[in-house]
Amino acid sequence: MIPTTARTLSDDMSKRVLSLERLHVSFFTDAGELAVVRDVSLSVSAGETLALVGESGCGKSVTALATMGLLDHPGRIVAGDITLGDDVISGFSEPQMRKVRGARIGMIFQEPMTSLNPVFTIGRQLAEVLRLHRGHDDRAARLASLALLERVRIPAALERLRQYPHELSGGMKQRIMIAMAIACEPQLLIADEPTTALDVTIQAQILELLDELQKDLGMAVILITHNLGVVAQYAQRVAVMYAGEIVEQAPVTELFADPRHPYTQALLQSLPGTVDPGRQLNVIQGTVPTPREFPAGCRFATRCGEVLSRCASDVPPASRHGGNHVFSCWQRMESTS
Amino acid sequence: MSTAALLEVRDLAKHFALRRGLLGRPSGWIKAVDGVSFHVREGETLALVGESGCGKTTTGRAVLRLIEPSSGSVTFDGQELLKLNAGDLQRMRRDIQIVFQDPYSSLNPRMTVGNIVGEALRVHGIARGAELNERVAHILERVGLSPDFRHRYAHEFSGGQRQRVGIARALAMAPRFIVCDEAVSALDVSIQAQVINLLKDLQDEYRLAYLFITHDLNVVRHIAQRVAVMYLGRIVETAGTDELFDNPRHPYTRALLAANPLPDPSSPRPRALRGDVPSPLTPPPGCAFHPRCAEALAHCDRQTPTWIQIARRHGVACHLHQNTSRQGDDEIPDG
Repeated sequence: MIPTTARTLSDDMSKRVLSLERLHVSFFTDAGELAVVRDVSLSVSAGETLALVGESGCGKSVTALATMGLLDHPGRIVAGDITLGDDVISGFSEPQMRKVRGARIGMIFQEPMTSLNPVFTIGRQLAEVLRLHRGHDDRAARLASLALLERVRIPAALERLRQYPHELSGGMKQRIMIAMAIACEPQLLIADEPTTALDVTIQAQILELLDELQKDLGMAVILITHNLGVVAQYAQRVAVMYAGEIVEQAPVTELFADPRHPYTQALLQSLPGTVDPGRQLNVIQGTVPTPREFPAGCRFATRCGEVLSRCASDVPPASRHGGNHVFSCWQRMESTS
Repeated sequence: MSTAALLEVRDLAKHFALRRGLLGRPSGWIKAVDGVSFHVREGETLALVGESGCGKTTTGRAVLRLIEPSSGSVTFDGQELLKLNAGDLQRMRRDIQIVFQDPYSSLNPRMTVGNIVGEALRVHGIARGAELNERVAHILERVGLSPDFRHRYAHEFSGGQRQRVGIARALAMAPRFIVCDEAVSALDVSIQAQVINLLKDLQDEYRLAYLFITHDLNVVRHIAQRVAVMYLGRIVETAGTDELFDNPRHPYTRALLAANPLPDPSSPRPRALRGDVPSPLTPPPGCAFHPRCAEALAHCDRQTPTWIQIARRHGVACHLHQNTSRQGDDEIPDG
């Protein structure tokens, strides 16, 4: 059992695109500091998809926003480094980050409806991205926009450029968002619940497209989702978050076949389909604590079925299980060592 | 049919008029629900699945007459609901309840949980005063909430707790039939499991019948005995749950199942169905699915497929199965 950080996790350091090292994010409210993300370390390499999975309020979106430099007041990074390529971007100023976003980090969000401006045509919004980041003039932007729409497999591209967001279906809008996100061929794509608002057949189209683009462009992808089916099918590695911490990180097949952390185990066992139809599903008792109620030690201690006396007070260190499988749990650490 | 259906829906249709023009004439019709038939037995769960815009939510509301259907028939326990006057309908509604998807917008923020759950009991004059309080406390306890919660407001609770309040409200009248409209879709996995178990327990305890409207196929497989698949206002296939998942016959059902990502890395990658759901304003002629169908025949774009009962409990509306009809079938068609 060797304590470890993300540094020791990646197979190929030279392909490393992004790494978070012991990241802590707090929200400073009138009622005091809320430690919403605690000691998060992860990395993702070129061509790799890392799924960041967890339930609402687990800190997965806050982690993504911190990575993109988009944390709003009262949120702030209080410790840790975010490294993109050779740059420690957590120390970047806002003007520096503005050049990173869009150009080196592409982003897509859950609601394509709210991410597109309803009063401008698709063509104008795409052209703006290209002018801003690539310095294209009108003509070049138009040609590049057409090429992008074809790349995300939007039929009748010329016609689409003249349309407004409300004239397009949800799936089409998400394709436009993807076109904007990849316009500058970023090293890293952060996709925050990209298919949650879409129907299952459209979800499959969008994830297939993302997969294809990733192969073409060699991007690193962070796929944020609560859907374990999407994780199982589209990620190579998985980081499971609970109450602001990564409780377990492993290659996808290993995580589903041999989960170590009691939360991961309980989450997988609570899925419909794990027991015979009609039987009682396994449940995790209680609800996720709010940041104000986070236990001082392991944050899952209040709901864990295998809690030890030290769990509530002492933070469990990250432990290794085999090659690149890491988890943080006192009980499992002691039972395996 | 083995036992009489509790709810029987025949040729239900809901056509919405589009922007009325001069002299109040509609400029077009959206056929949100276009001739839907199914039944639900006592103690049974029928899942109504399909993608957004397929008409499943409109169907659920039309059954309860929360939306007035354009035509068709809905009988509950032998009584035709669509012919009831307002008073009789209100009495009938004790037996028929609904749980909505969004526990954030379906509970009145100005009412205490106690008032939300007890409102129907009060309105119907079933209980008041101390008895009302006692019944509300009992129902809250039954859905796993502390009876003390009745003095608090919905916004003080998490999504899972609010959904329990929504279920408690539906249960208050001791109904026999509940429409669950995406009732667990907005919930996190660990909370979803709790609520699914609760719905199942309540069904066993009170012999409740559910019309379970959802897009989540994994939940369907767990909770439903039978499934009806909708596409663009019509039911395209119905079967027992296992039969539907193991032996889907309609190309749309197959596509839907193939697109569903299973939480198992060794299972095959989802296959995407091409194209978008067409607008219900201009549904494709013939079989509405034909523009997206990989197996479409020459006449699929002209002829509307008729309902074919291919086995006792398995029906499909598809030209591919035109010659596989079972003869001498005693089962009332499900679709």
